[in-house]
Order: sequence, then C-alpha cells, then structure tokens
Amino acid sequence: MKVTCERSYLAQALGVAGRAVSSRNTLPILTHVLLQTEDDRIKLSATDLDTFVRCALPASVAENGEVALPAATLSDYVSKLPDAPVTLEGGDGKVVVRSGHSRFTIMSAPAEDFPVVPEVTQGTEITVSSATLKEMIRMTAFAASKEESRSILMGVLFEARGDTLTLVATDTHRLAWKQTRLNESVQTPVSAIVPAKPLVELERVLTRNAEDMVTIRFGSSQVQFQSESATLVSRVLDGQFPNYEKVIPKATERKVQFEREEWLGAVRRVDIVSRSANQKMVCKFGGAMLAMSAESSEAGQTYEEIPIAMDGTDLQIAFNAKYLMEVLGLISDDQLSLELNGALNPGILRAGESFIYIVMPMQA
Amino acid sequence: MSQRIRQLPPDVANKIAAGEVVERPANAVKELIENALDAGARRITIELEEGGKKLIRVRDDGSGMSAQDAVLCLQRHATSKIQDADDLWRIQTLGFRGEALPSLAAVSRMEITTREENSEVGTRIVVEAGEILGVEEIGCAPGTEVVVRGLFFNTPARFKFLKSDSAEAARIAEMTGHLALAYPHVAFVLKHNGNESLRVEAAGDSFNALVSVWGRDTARAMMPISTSEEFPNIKVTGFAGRPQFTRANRKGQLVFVNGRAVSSRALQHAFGAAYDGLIHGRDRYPVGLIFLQVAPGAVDVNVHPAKSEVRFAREGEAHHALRVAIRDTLVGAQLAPSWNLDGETDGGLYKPFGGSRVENQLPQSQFPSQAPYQPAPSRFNPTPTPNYASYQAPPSEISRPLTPAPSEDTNERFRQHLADIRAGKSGFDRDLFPDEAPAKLQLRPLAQISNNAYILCEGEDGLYIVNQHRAHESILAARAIERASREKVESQRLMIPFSVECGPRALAAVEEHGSLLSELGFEVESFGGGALLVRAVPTLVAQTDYERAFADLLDELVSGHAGRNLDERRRALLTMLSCKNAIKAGDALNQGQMQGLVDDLVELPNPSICPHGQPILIKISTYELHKKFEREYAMR
Repeated sequence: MKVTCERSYLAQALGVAGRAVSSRNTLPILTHVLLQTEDDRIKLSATDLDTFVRCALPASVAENGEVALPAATLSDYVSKLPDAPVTLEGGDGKVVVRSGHSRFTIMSAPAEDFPVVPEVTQGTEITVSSATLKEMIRMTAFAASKEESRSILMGVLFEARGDTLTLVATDTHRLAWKQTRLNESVQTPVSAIVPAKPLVELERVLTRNAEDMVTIRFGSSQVQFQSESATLVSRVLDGQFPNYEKVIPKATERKVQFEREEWLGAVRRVDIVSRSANQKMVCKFGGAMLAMSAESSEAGQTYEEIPIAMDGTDLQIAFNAKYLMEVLGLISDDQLSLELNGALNPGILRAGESFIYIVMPMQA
Repeated sequence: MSQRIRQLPPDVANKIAAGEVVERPANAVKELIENALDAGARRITIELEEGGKKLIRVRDDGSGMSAQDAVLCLQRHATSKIQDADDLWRIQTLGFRGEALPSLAAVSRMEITTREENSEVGTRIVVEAGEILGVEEIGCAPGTEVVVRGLFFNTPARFKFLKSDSAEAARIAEMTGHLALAYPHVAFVLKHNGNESLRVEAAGDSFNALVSVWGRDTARAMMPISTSEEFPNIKVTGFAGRPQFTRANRKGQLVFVNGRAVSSRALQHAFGAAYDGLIHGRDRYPVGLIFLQVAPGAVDVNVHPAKSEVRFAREGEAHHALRVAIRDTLVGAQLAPSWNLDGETDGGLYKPFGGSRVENQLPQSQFPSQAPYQPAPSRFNPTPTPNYASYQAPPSEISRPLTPAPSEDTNERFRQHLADIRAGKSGFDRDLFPDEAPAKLQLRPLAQISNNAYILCEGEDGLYIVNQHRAHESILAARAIERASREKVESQRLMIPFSVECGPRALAAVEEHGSLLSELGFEVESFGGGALLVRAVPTLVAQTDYERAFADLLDELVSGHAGRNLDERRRALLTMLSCKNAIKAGDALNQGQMQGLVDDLVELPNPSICPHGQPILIKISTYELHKKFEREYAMR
C-alpha cells in the first residue's frame, strides 16, 4: 500500500472514526482503525462491535492495499504533524508514515483481522437535515437511562409515521419527546430503538448546517446514518419500548407560564442544597409566584421565588431538581409552559409544538 | 423397688412420631399429595381452610384402596410400597415408610373415603386421634379423598408454633407448586378458603408447569437443560436460569431426585460451580429447576423421615453430571466459554468474525485441577477485635507464607504468654480479652501491594494490610447510614410502574410487612394473579437497578430474618448501594489518598470487618515478626 493525503483531512477523518474506537481492550483489534484505499480516496473504519463508523477522505493512491493501525497512536501522531501532505506506505506488519522530514514506523495488524463492517442495504429510508437530527438527538438522548439493567431504556426510540419523525427517551423518572416534519412521508411506519451512546457520538459529528442531509436507513437489526462525509451503523435494541403515549396526560388542571432563564437560574441555586438532600426540591405554585425550597442537614436551606402566570388552583409538588435543571439548560425557547395535575401526577413541560418533557414528582 | 422404665402406649408413640413427619400443615399436605402421586393420580385437588389448620382436603383420582387396605394403612409401618429391607434400595415411589398416615391420624380428626375402580362400593373411615371410630360402605367416585380436620388438636404445644394462616397457606402453595413442577402430567388445583390460589393443568410439559408456578417472566429466563454428554446411571433434565437472572438466596434452585424434592449441599455446589465466573456480584445465586433420574440403587432416600435429604452411592458422579450438564446448557446458549476438562485451556473459543482469536474473557475455572467435589468453605465469622484477624487463617494468599502453624514451641509460648499477662505487658493478651476496648488504631500507609489491591500500613504494634475496596465500601456505607439517619426517606414516583411476579410466600410477606415497604420508600400495590405493582421507589435506588433492589428486599422478607427492623433493613439497602461506588482492587492511589482512606477507616466503629462480614485488614504484629526472625527478646 502506498497513498498520499492532506494531513488536515486525515486528522479530521481520524477524529470522526475515533468516536467508535473501543475503549475496552479485550479485543486488541478493536483499538485499531482500518484503512482501505479505493480509487482516489482512503476509507477509514472503526468499531466497538456495537457501533461502526466509516468515513472517507480524498487521497492519491499509488498502490492499493488495506491495513489496520492503532487508532490512538496514529491520530496522536497525525495531530502533531504540521499541515503538509502525509504519505503512508507499508505492508508486512508495519506502516511508515512520512511527512516532510518526519518519519514514523508504526506497527500494523492484518486487515483480515478487522471485523466485517456491515452495510444496511434494505429497509425503510428517511432523510432529515443534519442540523435537525443533531437538535433532536440533543433534546432526547440525555433522558435515556444509564442503568444497564434497563437496556431498552438506554436507547432512544425513533418512530417515523406518515410525515413525522419522533424521538423519545425515558429513564422511567422523566421522558423527553421531540418531533419533526419529514419532507417526504414514509410508506410504512417504522420504529427502532437506537442505543443512546452512539447517538451522542453521532450528535458530535453532525454539522449544524441545514443544507447537509442525513439518510437514516432502518434495517432489521441495525440502523445506518449516512451523511456526506461519514456513515454510522449501530445495532438496534431488541425489545418493546414502553407505551409513551399513555404517559402523556390528555387533560391538565393547571397551566403555568414562565421565563426559562429565570427558572433555570433559581433551580441551579436550589440544586446546590438539594443535591445533598436526595435532589428534592419542593415547589409551591400559588397566585403569581412559584416558590422553591430545599433543605439539607448538610448544606443548609435555600429559598427562591420567581413570577409566573398560572391558570388553576394552588399546588405544592416536589421534583428532582436535576431533572428540571438538565432540560431547562437544553431548551432554547424563552417562554415555556408547565402543565400540572395533582401532587403525585407528572408535570408536563412544553417548548413549542415539537418538544414535550414529562417529569415524575417525588413524594412531597 | 419400683418400675421406672415403661413401654410407652402406642398412642403416645404415634404422637411422638407425628412430630418427626408432620411438623406443620405443609408437611401433612405433602405426605397426602405424595400418596396420591404414588397411587397414580392424574388430578389432585387440595382444599384448605385457615391455612390448613382447620381443614385439609386432598382428593385424587388414583387407584384407591379396598376396605381392608384402608383400615390397614392406618397401622404404623403398613405400606404397599415395599415388602422387605432389600426393597429400600429399589424404591421408586415417593413414600415407603408407612408412617405418614398413622402419624397424621394420631394428631387430627381424619376421614378417608376411597374406592377402587373395579369395586362396586367405596369405604369411609373416620379416625380421631389415631383411634378408628367407624368404617362404613359408601358410594363415591374412584380414587381417594383424605380430609384432615383440626390438625394438632390434641397436641396444643405444636399447634402454638404454627404461623399465621396466610404464612402456612403460603408454605403449602409453595410446596404444592414444587410438586406440580416435578409432575407435569398431573393436574393440581389448590384452594384456600374457597379461593383458587394455584392451578396447574396436566400439559405433560415442564415448561407449562413452570409458567403456571413461577410466572411468565421467570419462565422466560429459563433454558431447557441440554447436554451431549452421557452419564452412567444419571440423567439430568430440567431448566437452568440465565446467568443474568439471579436471586439473593438459593430458594430459586429446586432439585428433584427421582421426582422427590431434595436439598443437597453437593448438588447445590455443583449447580453453582457450573455458573463459575458468570454471576456478577457477591451473594447472588442462579435459578434452576433440576430433575435427576438415577438408578434406584444408586441413591438412598431413607435418611430422613421427611425424605428431604438423600444420599448418593457415588456423590462425585452426581456432582459431575449436574455440573457438566448445566455448563453444556450455558455453553450451548453461548452464555459461557466451554470447559476443557482435560486440563488444557482453550483460548480460541468462539470466533465472531474473520477467524481472529478471541481471548477468553471470563476467568478460567480451576475446576479441572480440583477434586470432583469440595464442600463450600464455611464462613468463619471473626470477632470484632482488630487484632484477631492474624490469628485465624486469613483468606489472602500473601499472608499464607507468613503464618505457618505454630509447632514445637506452643507450650513455651503459652508460658511466656502467662508471664506477659502477669507482668502487665500487652501484645498478645488483648486478643484473648476482647472485652477490653481496643486502642484506637494509628496507621501510616507505606505502599500499595499486589497490583494495587492492598495498602500496606505501619501501625504502632505491627504491620497492617488493608483491603482497599472493602475499606472504602465500609466508609461509604457508614457515611450513607449516618446521613440517612438524619434525613427522612424520600420516594421518587415512576412514570412506568413495574410489576413483579412473585410466589405466594412473597405475597404473604408483603401483606405482613406492607408498612415496612412504604417506610422504606416503596409504594407497592397488589396487581392480582401473584403480581405486585411498584409505583414509587426510594431515591436511594431510583438511579440504579431498583427492580433488583426490590427483588432482593422481597427475598429477604421471605427468608424472614426475624427481628430485622426498619433501621437494619435500611442499613442493608444503603450498604448494598454504597458498594457500587467504592474504589476497586487495582485502582492506584497516591500517598494522600491512601492516608485519607486509612484515616477514615480507623474512625469507623469496627474497622476490621466490612458490612458483609469479611475482614478489611490483616495484622502482622511486631511480636509475630520478631518470632519469625527468631528474635530472642520477643519471647521475654
């Protein structure tokens, strides 16, 4: 193999592929990135066996070949090179990386050892803009469960029906729901549970550009996200996502309107105390005020008030402050509404038409 | 001279014997069901009133008895199942001792109604306290019905020891469920106070019985045992639970030998050994339903009156067969790497892709090199004295070469020891007088040893080796308990309540301890059909595996550690959780971190024993060191 490319392209591609490189080291080959030459480009692949990432960069190929290189070492070296063409040449267990007067001989592993990178060729396909998908993942993936025992809830539900795409995630204490319109409606409704971890990696790689389009293809056991520059294939979680529609209350007794910034600031201050008191924040909605307080024998007491506009009777309810802080920090709308029923019923936070966040109360 | 030793009258002897066979309603029901099974019944109906204390009615459609047999069966050691002593080695029936009915009749008011299929009329016998009050002809369906009223009415002492109705009924339901699992071709119906609490139809398929008795969720986690190995004299069938599906005790492991539920340490060990390296977490046990078919001659069931113990002619063989069969099942389901029993380790076990070698990710079992069966080591519970640990064989390998057994100079040492005490010198005496308040430890960490698993410390009177994981665990647990004692339990509501299918005993326990659960922060309601619905969980466990925490709690309630109050349960819960956050063996610590850890450790009320009852630190006293180097003045 002999190939020459621009350092900046290679560094960027290694950054993207590196997202999938396994941190576990039980299988040494998974700490490698696979390089394959093809016409006038290099294809990079990396995987942790759950997620596969593939990307390509332009290059001039003098001699075709493929080889697996240790990802961390290679990307560390390339990132420290000055911007200049880089040549990779090798075979027989090592690859020489040359740039200007620098030369690095790096040990390689045979490409045959590298797992076969799957390609999802069949299944329903939808297309959304990179910016939209990025925003949707950002607004939902944080609510997915981190607890291994609830593996289904460690994923985000993708549901394409008619001309809408909906993402839902929950950890049984709160639920985030985000919807968008598709340019073309899907023929058959499709739903898949995608693990949150690769989605978070994908979110980092996606651009904010509304012009860039991402194609999502739902296979039987895998889902493939394909943008112009990179492809990510993740396995789909097998199982039944909870019936989230049942959780969203149809009617509510109270509706509270408030300023996001104001509430977020107050919750952040309450959190300093509530984090050592089981995260419990007591909220009193009354008249035109929302009073929040937390009390901990360790950290002391806090009390906050913010002005609100409310329809309905007074109510005292307790929430996990962290669950509110997280979501308030993510939303960009300034005016938000919170709907409430009883002290033991969920609170429903809405931002526009496309985002719903449901949070379960604590026993007050 | 008066005669002081007398032959007891038969009714007294029977009452004594009844105590051995019939301890509580569940034993009575078990004996009656086993008789029905031995009689070839296809359908057994059990009715209870007031937990079996008021009434037990067991009806079967088996072969029935003639009038003479029915009278004779009430005589002690009258049985149709064996004829001479040699038959004891050929037992294929559940009963054989001829003790159950007379024992039961001696402590109750009994009514037996029976008819053989080819006989015109049936027989009814009424017995009270072992005495036959009447025998009459009666028209009835073929089969046998035994009604036991007022169990223990004439032995008030035993009656007093019975538990509540629901607890006794729960035991009966559990026991009946076990028999239903073992006899899938027999239909079982159990009613308590007119309500049906168990129904297992005779589908002839163990899996259906499993679903009826253990519930759908548990049944789903079970895999049929399949093995390619042939064992002489032994056949293993049944179901093995997936390694992820564990419980906090061994109640989920049922072993039947020739259709008889038995408890056997050897078989328990074999079952556990098959899961070696697959079970995560301490004190977790896999679930299994195991049927062993052995040649009648290879097993002795005549060990215990209740026949719950068996003795194998070749225990090692049974152990080996069970272990290999379960392991094969796990390997077959690709849940475990296979064992190479010839002793060679096989690294390339499975090849997911490209022919590359996958290193065995699970710790290799050392089984091949061990004797076929070793009893599980009994847990030695050390007394809470910091200095004690070094005088028992410590579990750590590093201390083994340091503490050889005392030999020729034991006497010398004892004399010296007495002299020390007289002279008021300390060093050894504190170990013998644990009542004396131990002086506060002062530890100076020197280094981490054994791949960062232990911290070596210097104390005032010797060398201390601290298990860093256990030390941190104990510190975190103590802190959590301390904080929890100041703050009240908070409860987080769940968006999606979870349901738990549990056995009748667990349901009875929840009924009994409902308020305790809510004080712990669980909001539980009955969901019907043997299921519970949990709507809220304590914030302590809200972020973690709360289903499992709840299941563990249930297990504990069922096993009924009597006297465990709310505080202790909360403490146990907190301990369980804090262990998750503790530093592990292998985590590198700098000098400051080590110092902080041992400083916190010595502040604990009991720095030597961790919440799980295992030693945190091991001491090698200066005295011991001197002795090992044979320093003369150490003896003075």
